[in-house]
Amino acid sequence: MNKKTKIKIFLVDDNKVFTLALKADIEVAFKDMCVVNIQSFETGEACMKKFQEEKPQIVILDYHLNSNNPAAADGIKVLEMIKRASPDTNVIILTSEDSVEIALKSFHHRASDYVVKSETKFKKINYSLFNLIKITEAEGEARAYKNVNLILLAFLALMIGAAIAIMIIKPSFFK
Amino acid sequence: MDNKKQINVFIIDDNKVFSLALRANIEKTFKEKSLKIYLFEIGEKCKSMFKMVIPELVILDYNLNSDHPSASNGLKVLEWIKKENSETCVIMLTSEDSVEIAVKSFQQNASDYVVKTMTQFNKINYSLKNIFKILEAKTIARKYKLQRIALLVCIAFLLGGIAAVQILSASLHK
Repeated sequence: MNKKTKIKIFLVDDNKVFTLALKADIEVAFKDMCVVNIQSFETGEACMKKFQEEKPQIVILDYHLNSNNPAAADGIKVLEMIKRASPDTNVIILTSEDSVEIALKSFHHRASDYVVKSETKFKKINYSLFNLIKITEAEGEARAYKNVNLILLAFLALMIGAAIAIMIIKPSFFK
Repeated sequence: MDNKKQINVFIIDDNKVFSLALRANIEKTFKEKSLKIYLFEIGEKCKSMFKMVIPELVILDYNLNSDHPSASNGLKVLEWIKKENSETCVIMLTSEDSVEIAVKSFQQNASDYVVKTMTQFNKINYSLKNIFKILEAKTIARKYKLQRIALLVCIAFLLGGIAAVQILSASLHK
């Protein structure tokens, strides 16, 4: 693709150092592929405030968000809020401990991926983003084809209509 | 989609119990898809079948030499698969989490990298869901592409037909 896709990503994690590192890593990894616009938030509540106006395609969401704000909602609750506001947004759930329960719950709430914060976390997030961007691109391509087809179909119908109209009004035209 | 296209999946893992469990899990999670799952113990054994079936998806373990000491590792098999058909999506599995394997798999165009922990099946399901979405969108795009060609041919015929009638009738009147 010569035209670079623009992708808006929200990072929600209460660990600021991690967020900064992840942001830098994503920007480097995808600089040739697409234009990424990344915004970071410490809690789900802060993210939801900006969510409606920004409408990100991808949200990377940590499960534990209450280290600084004890009242902050956990990742699954935020996931639910995001999916209610915009079902098409892809959400990647991050977690520091590997748990079948969180993995299953996230799956049922239609998260797009589940990544454990291990040694290879940045790599795994890149894999995940790469697939999600591919989905977005492929769906965009399908939509573009569909629209062009509709225009062509309309054009064809118009031409047939015009031909019939000329035949009725001015039969001599075809004789 | 009403006309479901069959998706061929290869699972390559030397642990037979794991392969069987994974197959049962995938079939249960994606009941609504028409999947055909083939199991292989080592990469070498899948080669002739691969050329015949050309699977859309391969789930490939990194360590394949427990029973066959000379079996090539997952990265070599990945390289072979991508050379044979670059469209095939490959999910790499590994028992130990290693940055080196993750990076190398990514460079060889693997679609995902999954570490075998207790959530392995869940992680594979996530991965499959995303890959199926990509495959589906690609199929739809291909369908529209064909439709567009058909429409263009129709328009060309119609224009050609009108032009032919004009020329013929003009020459008849003279």
